[in-house]
Amino acid sequence: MSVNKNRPHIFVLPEDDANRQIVNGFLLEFQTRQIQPLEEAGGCRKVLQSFASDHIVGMEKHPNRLIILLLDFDGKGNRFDTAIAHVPEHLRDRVFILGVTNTTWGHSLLCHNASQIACLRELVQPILFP
Amino acid sequence: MIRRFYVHNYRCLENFELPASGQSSLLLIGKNGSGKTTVGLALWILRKIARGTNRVDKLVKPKDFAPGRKDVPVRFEIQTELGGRLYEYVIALELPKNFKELRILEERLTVDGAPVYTREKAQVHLVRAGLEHAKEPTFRVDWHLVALPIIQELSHADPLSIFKRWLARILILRPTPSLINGDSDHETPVPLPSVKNFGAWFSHLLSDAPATYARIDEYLKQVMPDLRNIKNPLIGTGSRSLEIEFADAKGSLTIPFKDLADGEKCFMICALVLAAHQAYGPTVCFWDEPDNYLAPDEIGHLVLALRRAFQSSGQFIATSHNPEAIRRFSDENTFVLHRRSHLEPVIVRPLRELQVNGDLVGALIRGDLV
Repeated sequence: MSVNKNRPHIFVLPEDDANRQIVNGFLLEFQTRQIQPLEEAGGCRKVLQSFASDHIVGMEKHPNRLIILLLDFDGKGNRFDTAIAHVPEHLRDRVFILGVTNTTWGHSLLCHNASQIACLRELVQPILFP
Repeated sequence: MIRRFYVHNYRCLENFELPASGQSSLLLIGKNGSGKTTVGLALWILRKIARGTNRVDKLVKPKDFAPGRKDVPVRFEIQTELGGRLYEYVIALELPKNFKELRILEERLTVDGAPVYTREKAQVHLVRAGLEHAKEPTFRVDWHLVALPIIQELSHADPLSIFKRWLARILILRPTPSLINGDSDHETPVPLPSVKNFGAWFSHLLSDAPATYARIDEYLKQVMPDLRNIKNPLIGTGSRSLEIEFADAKGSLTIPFKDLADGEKCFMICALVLAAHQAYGPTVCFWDEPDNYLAPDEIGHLVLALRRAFQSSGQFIATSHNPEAIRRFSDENTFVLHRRSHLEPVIVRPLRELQVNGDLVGALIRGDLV
């Protein structure tokens, strides 16, 4: 069976091919079926469109579902603010927006990610280390 | 792990080298007829040799030459690193005029560059440490017979024995679930590509390495949480038939293996690959289209389970046309096979060397990759 929807599970929605490959590398390190990477959206705007059209209803239906939107910040700090504005208030504790730049997981980027990662860590730990 | 696999003049593979070095898992993609399955067939020939098939006619036939190239030898070369030593086996076969069956032109096994034996046509030369060259054994073998299976191994630690065991354990899979009924009247350490002898493979693993049942059980219970037990009872003299028991809070149900769904049989095959790798690793597994018969939400999990298992040792080689399977590999370990027509040889190129616009699967669908 695929992810067990009655237990905490994570969907990862990557923006592009590079982010998809990052997810692959991560999943090779953890033996879990509770993380389901999704097809790359093909752009930041498409990630947000896909989230709105395909995932909001599913998240409301499945309270054990977390979703990570894996974006390419490309040094555009306002992408985080743009993205979070697309997430309904009542889902914000289960939607995580993470981003990388083309060059590095640099300091300014980590600042963006820090609060999201801190929240995510607590929720993800029991999934990766049941 | 295969360091190098070179094939020349065999079907569509001419001067073909699989870029396997340093890759714990790799994916071969390409259009229908681009030669992906033929790579597995070439590996299967070498495995058959290691498992004792030595009549040339049972390995390569005149029709297997590349089109119009019967005057050029067919050549297979494989290099692997085992226990920190580099093993290389080379076999070349030719079809002289008026011959109906190919004969051996050249054959040799080397370890770290030093020959274990060499052969030219019928003449085999064994190299023994401590012996002067003139005193080393030389003998003649029918030139329609491969020497590797018939040279006596000195011990379990003999390089010849180590290499043959490794080569004989390569898993080459192209499962046809409808042919798999779970019955067995013998044991086998490796299945046929169709895996129709799954029962014999299961029986061997469980009798030779019973501890691997835990690995089989662990994997299958993730995929089928209601699985309780796999039974392999005797159904006659020397014959067994697999049965699968499922259970939940309401009760239990035992069904014959043959009645499992095709995809469920593939989960079983995957479980045995993981178990065989644990028992006999480092192994190489070539699985032609592991996504076949699986539901979309299972494909990625199965591919990643295999990639993960082979990450620290051995090698997992997959071919695929399936978007979900393709997405579970990366640019670094994806290779594109291509040929312009049925008359031309296969060209293999790393995906990272190709300019892909947008996503890879989209490029494949558009036919824009090569």
